Amino acid sequence: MKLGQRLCWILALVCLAAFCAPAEAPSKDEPRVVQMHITQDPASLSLIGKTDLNSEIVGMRLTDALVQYDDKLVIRPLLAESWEFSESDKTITFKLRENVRWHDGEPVTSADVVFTIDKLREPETENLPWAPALDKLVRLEAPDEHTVVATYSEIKPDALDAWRTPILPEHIAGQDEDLFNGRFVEHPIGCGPFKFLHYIRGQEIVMEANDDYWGGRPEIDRLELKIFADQQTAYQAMMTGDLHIMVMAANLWQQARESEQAAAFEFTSYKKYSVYILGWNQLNNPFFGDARMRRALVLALDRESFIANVAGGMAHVGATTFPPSSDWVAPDVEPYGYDPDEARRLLEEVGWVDTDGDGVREKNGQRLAFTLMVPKSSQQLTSWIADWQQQSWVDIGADVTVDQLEWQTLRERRKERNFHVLAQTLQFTNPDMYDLYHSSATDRYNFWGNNDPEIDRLLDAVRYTFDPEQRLAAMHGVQRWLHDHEPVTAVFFFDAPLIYDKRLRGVRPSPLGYAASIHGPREWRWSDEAS
Amino acid sequence: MLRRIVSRLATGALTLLLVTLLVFGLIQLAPGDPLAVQDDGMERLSRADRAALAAYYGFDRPLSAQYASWLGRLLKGDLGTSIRDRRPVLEKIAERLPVTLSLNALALFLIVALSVPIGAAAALNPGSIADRWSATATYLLYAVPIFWAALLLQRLFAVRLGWLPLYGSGGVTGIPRFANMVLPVVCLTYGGLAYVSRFVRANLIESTRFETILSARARGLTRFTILVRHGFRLAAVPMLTLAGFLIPALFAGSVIVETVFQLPGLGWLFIDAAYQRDVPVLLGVTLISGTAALAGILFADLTYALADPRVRRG
Amino acid sequence: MAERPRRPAALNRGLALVLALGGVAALAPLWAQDPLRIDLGATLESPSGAHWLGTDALGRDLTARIAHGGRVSLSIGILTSLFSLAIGVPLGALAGYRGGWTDATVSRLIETIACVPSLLLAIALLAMSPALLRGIPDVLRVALVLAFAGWIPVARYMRGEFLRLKSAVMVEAARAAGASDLRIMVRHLLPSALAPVLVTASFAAASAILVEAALSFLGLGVQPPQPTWGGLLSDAREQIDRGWWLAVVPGLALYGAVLGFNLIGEGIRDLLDPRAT
Repeated sequence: MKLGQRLCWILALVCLAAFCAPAEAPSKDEPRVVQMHITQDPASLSLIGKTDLNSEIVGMRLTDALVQYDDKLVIRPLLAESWEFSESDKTITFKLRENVRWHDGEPVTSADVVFTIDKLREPETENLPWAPALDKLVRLEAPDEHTVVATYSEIKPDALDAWRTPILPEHIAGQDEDLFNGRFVEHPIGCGPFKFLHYIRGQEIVMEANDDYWGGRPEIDRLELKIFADQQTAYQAMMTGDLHIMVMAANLWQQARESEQAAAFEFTSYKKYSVYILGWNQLNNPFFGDARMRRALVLALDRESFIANVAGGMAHVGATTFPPSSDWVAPDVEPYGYDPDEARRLLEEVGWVDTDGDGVREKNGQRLAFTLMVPKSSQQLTSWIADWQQQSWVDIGADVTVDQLEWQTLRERRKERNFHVLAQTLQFTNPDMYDLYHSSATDRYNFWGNNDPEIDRLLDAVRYTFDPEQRLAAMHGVQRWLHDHEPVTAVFFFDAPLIYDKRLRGVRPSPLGYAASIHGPREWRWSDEAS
Repeated sequence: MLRRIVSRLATGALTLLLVTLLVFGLIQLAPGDPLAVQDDGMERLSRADRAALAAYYGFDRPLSAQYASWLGRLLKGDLGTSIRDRRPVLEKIAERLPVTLSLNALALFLIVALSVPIGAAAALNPGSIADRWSATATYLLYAVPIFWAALLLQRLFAVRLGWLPLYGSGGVTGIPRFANMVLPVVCLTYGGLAYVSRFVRANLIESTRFETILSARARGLTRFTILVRHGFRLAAVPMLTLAGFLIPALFAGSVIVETVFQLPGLGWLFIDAAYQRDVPVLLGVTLISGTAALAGILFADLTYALADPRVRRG
Repeated sequence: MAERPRRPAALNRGLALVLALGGVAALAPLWAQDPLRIDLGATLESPSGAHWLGTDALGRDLTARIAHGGRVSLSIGILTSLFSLAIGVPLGALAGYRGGWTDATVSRLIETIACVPSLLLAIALLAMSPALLRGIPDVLRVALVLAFAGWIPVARYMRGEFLRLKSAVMVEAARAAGASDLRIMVRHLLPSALAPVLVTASFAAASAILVEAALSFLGLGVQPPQPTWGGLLSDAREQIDRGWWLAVVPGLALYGAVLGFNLIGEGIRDLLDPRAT
């Protein structure tokens, strides 16, 4: 009984502690606080290590890169005031902005840039977005405090893309033996528009405006990145005012628009350069080696109807993986429509006929039975798409199994070419699709076994041509080829349904997302007046 | 007596070793490369990079060597580092523990605080209306799936009535605010009522059959007084053993409850690790929960052995 | 409902519940629509004559999905229970009858697996998606994973029964007559232990149905487009504003099945030993 009594006391204290926990009630005169949604904890606060989308979002607030895209995907100067791009010498010479200071007051110099790039290229850093793109970088020099010279063995027009990597302070991050376990990740110091305040895992990352930012102090005082993995919960948070800006699932966005609180929000949707694709494995199976088969299965999908009735109109049908809203797209390449009869005709032309009347076609004793491999997702829309594709193909006489796999398993299977059809999302920042289709890119992203000298030639041209007109012509050539051969189907380009508090001004979404361009929170303003 | 305790502890240690072996077996089930971490765009890490990373983590060594070094590190309290953020697993578990502990402690407390009166009322007069109704009601609650209850309670109290927060810990680190814990604790509690109150009832009825109690009854004490004075004293020990068995069940419940209510506890950490296949975290939590349950069972067994005169004699 | 569930009436009620749900589910292909048929022209419809409980986001009939979800839940419950019997009965019997090292080994095994919460074990197993479970139909895979921990109570019970029974006079007599161990176990001990084992089998089915629903709810169990009760409840989270029935009907079905199997277990127990509590 003694033990029981003690237990009661402990529990009573626990309850008391829970009651008395300090409250965090924002009042009207408090600083301008903006709460923005992110979907997960960033992999780390190292900003360059193990990067994922969320660490990029955090990194762009805390520190600057040399250059960054604007909302039209044009590269703009940031820490680099200017640069000189020499095709003949295969060099880029960056001139750094002077008088930029880290949050602790130390000056930002070219040594920090060299340090960051070296660190980034160490395998332990596991930097996925930028390190591999710097593989042709052979020398990096800092002739003076504000000049950085990068020398390549081969240079391409998109070489600046990789210089969007955030720059870290050598005098702090350089002292940590392990980047993931040191002083820096505990309290990252940058030179960006916001300064790190605190991080509660699974809940929030909080930053305050940097008074000494070289580009001028941001108008909002405090930026809180709120972590909600679950869309439904984030939706409720938005409705109760605990969040000010987020990209929502289309169905919830619709629901919010029709809700009573709708007047308090701004609703826009913007086009992202991200596409939901189907990749057809042309090897290892008797199904997709023939381009007519791939086309037949695309013709069986009523994409327009799906967009209208299920995706809330928030998507566009793609003709190829080139984003329809980009300047790269070839106007004469039209997406395939919905034509199940033509699909059936094509299947029969190739030799797939239902001879035994079981509803599934056969050819040479082989049933048309294949597997659609999709990544597991918490978003309902993803599994709706899979169900819909499966049923559409069943309707034209295929036996389709959907394999919803965890991302890691899917990557393994993809690498081993152990799949029939693969569904996943891709995002682009430039028109160089070499990795996706080139016959030499089988160790990168050409999982489909695409192998054709014609497309190789066109892809090489896009990759290494500097003349804009010639390059565009090559891109159009790529698209025509892709449309004829359909190695990958660009099923949907999704719009990002954005919802934000009416009082938040200056939101400028880019094809990379509302938070992933040069604009982002540093240009946001807060206004209590009605617009 | 001492021999009994020592041998129980020895089998306990053996079981603990087997639990580590079970967990280690799970690691080996993972297909392919546990290093692969989600990237949102193109896969750009080269094979050489990946091989270097595999060597760094030691996945290329033989199984027995992996197990030996893993066990050695366990003994030093090192559960490895998360594949996702490279933070020590023990640290990740430690920072989530207060949430899970406070949820489970409150639930355990509530289960006992509610079940004892219910069980006692039933034992006071077996077969009475109170006995039958409490049995039926708790029994009906027992079969209600936790996530369904959570869904309906959230709907009612958070969305419709707005009395309680829908999710989260209320913007504080560590133990969540009280209001944020009400619904999760209710969800964890109701399922245990049937079992524990029936257990209390059975033990009270059983223990009041004893001679001392019969003689007390002969002295003219009421059944209520007998229950309070003697019954509880005798039934306390078996009830204690029950706590040991409730731990695994409660923990399984908090996996669901924490996920639905977005409470940053061990259960949520576990589910996240399962979705992302963060093997060290997944197995660290499995190991910790297994060890906690084993400790509970051992504790219960030993108390039982020490306290119960019948067992002590045997 | 005020009746005590321990009466043999519990058995009747349990059987009625399970048979009713099982009948509705088993006969679903005969009366319900195709739960996979997509109709993009009829998405998110309210209940009507054509769709009693309305349609989902792809225009699939929800009545059919709930009925077919029952096929998944009930078959996983029954399969898990069968697998648990197949593992637990022989292991428990051997441990109880043989004693000594056999008993020690099996007991340690039981204790080890019992330590790890079964839901965690199932999630870990499914998350790892081991090679030997790949390529098996979902229902079978989930049942196997659940049986991995599910056999524990069965084995515990069997062990106890055999421990108790092996000293019975009948066994001594058989052994004196020169019967083999196997013969004694199968011919003499099993029949008297098997009926009570049905009690644990029934509880195993109930708990398997619950855990499967939890797994599906978390997105780790039987995969779409196959409808499951847990999956339908998970969908209902995002669409609950459309109507209460989305969350209530699949939940009630699930609840009924769990309650039904529990009642059957209780009922059989009371039938065998009316004194038991």
